[in-house]
Amino acid sequence: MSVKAKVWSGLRQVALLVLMFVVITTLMDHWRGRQIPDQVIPDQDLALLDDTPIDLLALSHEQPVMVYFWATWCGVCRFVSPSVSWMAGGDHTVVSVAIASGDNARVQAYQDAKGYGFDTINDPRNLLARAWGISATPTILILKDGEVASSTTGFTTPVGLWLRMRFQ
Amino acid sequence: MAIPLIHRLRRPRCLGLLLALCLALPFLQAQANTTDTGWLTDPEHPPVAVRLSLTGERDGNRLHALLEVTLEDDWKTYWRSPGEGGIAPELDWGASRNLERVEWHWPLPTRYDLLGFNTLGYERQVAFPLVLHLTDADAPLDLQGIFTLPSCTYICVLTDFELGLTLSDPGALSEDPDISHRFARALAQVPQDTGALGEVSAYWNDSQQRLQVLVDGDHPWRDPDVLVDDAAGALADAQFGVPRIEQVDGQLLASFEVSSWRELPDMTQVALLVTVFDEALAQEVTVAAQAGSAPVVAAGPVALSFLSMLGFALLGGLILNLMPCVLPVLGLKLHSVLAVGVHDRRRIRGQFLASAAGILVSFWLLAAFLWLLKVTGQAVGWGVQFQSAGFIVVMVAVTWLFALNLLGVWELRLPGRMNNWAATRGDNSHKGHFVQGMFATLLATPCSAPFLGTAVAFALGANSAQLVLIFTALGIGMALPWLLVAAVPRLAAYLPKPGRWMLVLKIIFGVMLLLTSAWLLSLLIRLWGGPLVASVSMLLIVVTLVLIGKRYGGKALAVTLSLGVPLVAITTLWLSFGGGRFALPENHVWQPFEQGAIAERVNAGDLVFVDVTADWCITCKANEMGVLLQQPVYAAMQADDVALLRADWTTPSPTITAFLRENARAGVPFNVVYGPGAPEGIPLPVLLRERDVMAALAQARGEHLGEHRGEPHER
Repeated sequence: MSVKAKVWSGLRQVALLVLMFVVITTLMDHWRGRQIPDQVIPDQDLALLDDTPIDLLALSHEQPVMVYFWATWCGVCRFVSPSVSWMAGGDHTVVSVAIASGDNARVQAYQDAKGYGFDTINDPRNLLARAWGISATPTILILKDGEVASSTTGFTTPVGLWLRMRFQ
Repeated sequence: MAIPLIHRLRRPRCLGLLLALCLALPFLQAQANTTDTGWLTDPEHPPVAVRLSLTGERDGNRLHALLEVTLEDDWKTYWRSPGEGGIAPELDWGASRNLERVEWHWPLPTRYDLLGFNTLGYERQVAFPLVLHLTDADAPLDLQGIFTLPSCTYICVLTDFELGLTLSDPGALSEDPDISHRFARALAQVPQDTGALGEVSAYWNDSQQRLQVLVDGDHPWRDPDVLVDDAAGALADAQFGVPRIEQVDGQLLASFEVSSWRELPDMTQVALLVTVFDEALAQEVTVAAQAGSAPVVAAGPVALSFLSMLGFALLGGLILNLMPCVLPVLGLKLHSVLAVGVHDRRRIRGQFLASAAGILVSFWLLAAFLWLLKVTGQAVGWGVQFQSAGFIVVMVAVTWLFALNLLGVWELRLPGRMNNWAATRGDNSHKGHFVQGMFATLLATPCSAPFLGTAVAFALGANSAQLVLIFTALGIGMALPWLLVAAVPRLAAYLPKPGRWMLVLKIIFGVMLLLTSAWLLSLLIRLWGGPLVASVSMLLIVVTLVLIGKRYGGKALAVTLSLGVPLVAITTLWLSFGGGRFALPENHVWQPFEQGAIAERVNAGDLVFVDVTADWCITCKANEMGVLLQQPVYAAMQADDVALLRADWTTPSPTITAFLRENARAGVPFNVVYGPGAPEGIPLPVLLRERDVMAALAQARGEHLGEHRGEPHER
């Protein structure tokens, strides 16, 4: 075997492993998300950290909206937030909800420090999450046409997120 | 915790309370005081339950209440300053009437490594003592609280519990002895300033972002730890991490690297709450930090202890090669070198490096597996795999098949074939050798318990980076002989020329492996019962004999039988007599472990020696034979006032696992001595030494050891 052939066979194996990982995580993601909460999203007046009003329901009629429930104190969120931030950096519509994480300034400072580029609705008293029936973080909902199209709780991969948004 | 009153959307979730109310309704006029909410649960998050109860004790306008929380599985909740990876529970009493304020006492938390973050919290259960201050001591009290309880595993959940108690007639309160007792027990877990510590000072080095806490005074420290937070919440976003603890001239020095994603406040302006705790001590004092560094020269014994642990790991890994399970693999490997010819150095080097890599990768896989268990909060310990029948069966099969292979009765040679297969591929493929390394590690697992136990128990208590380092050291240790040959392939040339001796050696290796199989089978007795294991053993023996007979003919079979039968008989005898204990005194009479018995005996003035052990734990056996059954320890343990309790962890036992966890141990062996002088217990090191046991017994008895400690310090 030449060096080139060796490199190729190595790359092939790596690619295979990556593919397996993606397939397995996607399946798991899907399996976890299969119980779509049978809920009506309350129509509320909401605002981002900088007080810009946002209407999630109206947005969801235009394109799928990813709503990410997280908290500064949630350990697993640290591993999910970068993926969500990456999604927000693309051409996806991503809005996050920070639960019980302090006032707007604190959440903004936290996002700045960690480099999270997604828009955030602050929910310092855990009211919004409660109204939406979300009890655990991290939770990701995909809203489409005013309804929850899918949801997942716990760790998820960038690939899983991307597929989720793509196939809505 | 003053929180503005907010009206929330809430579902009725206080089933217990409702039920209690319904039942109590007819009597409500007569019995106007409800002093217990009962256990409250949220159907949306069943793993946690909460209960608020009044002890009934009254002290002027103060009432004692106990807020109890239970958490199932590995759910955890947090301390008042849990660090960056957590959020404190909150209580909002805004809707109460006749309540001036509430003192909330926080029991000493435990450090958890949650997903790489050091977090302070509680697992399984925690009880918070509350002191309620009434505005008017004699007026009715309407206690309405919302308790927001965070609980996390791989997800985090915030649960709100409505706590409602009413006292229409505080004067009619009577003390509930059971709740009072639980309150007192919970309060005993709360660090307080009783003046047990010497002077405590703190130093903030701004350029290094380092906070040092110096505790003066000659306390006999065993395993001290220090926590820092503040009452005002100015340090809520500061991450203190695990401090480096050093002892300098009898003083305790804790150094914290402080970090935050926010700008830190001026630390010298913050009233620091410093919690210092050790095995039998928990103190909380308020300190103001001075600018600069602590005026002591630190020696760094903690770093040394980690280094020595790495050394242990390296040595343990190296010794693994001599174990009967692994030696054959290394032996075979050297054979292959002889077969190939020692002159092709490059080739030998490549092969041995590949095997070493296989070993290292296997250990990393093990580390990753343990890390995963650890971050998900599972109870782990080295050796628990021997509690699983499935694992033992697989290992019996592997060792037995490999033994037969070495004995030459089994033609499909696994490592040998891979060897050939790899050899036919020439130098380009090192896969076969890599797999051999992994196979060696797999075979090593049954023999690894005594050597890995210490290192792994340490690694599980350490942070993730240290865990990886320890396992790397284990892997390198085990790979050392392979690396040595890789470095100096000429070494292989010093081996005798291939010949008949190799066949003999193979048979010796085969017999060693068969003995390993037998040992593993003997572990199954506890899990399967004797008769089944005996039948399986008989079956294996017969199959082995038939195969030997087929391969080598009747003569060899006769030789095997004439050698084997006495050997098996002697081994059985030896094992049934407890393995080489002929020279030892009769074993202690152990009572089965019962946690409740400890306090009972200690209160009666006795000593309690607890031995947590397991059949598969060779270190436990070594401790027993080497120390516990030797004089003078034997005589000391036989004294009339010593109760000997043995906890058998051979098969899984939740109570024993819980006991180990309470003592922050990952596995067996674990020995601890209780007594009037040490009601909290004195844990002994994993590897027992005579003087440790004797000192612990004396200390537990309340005898003063080491009077030299009492010398006053020159200032």
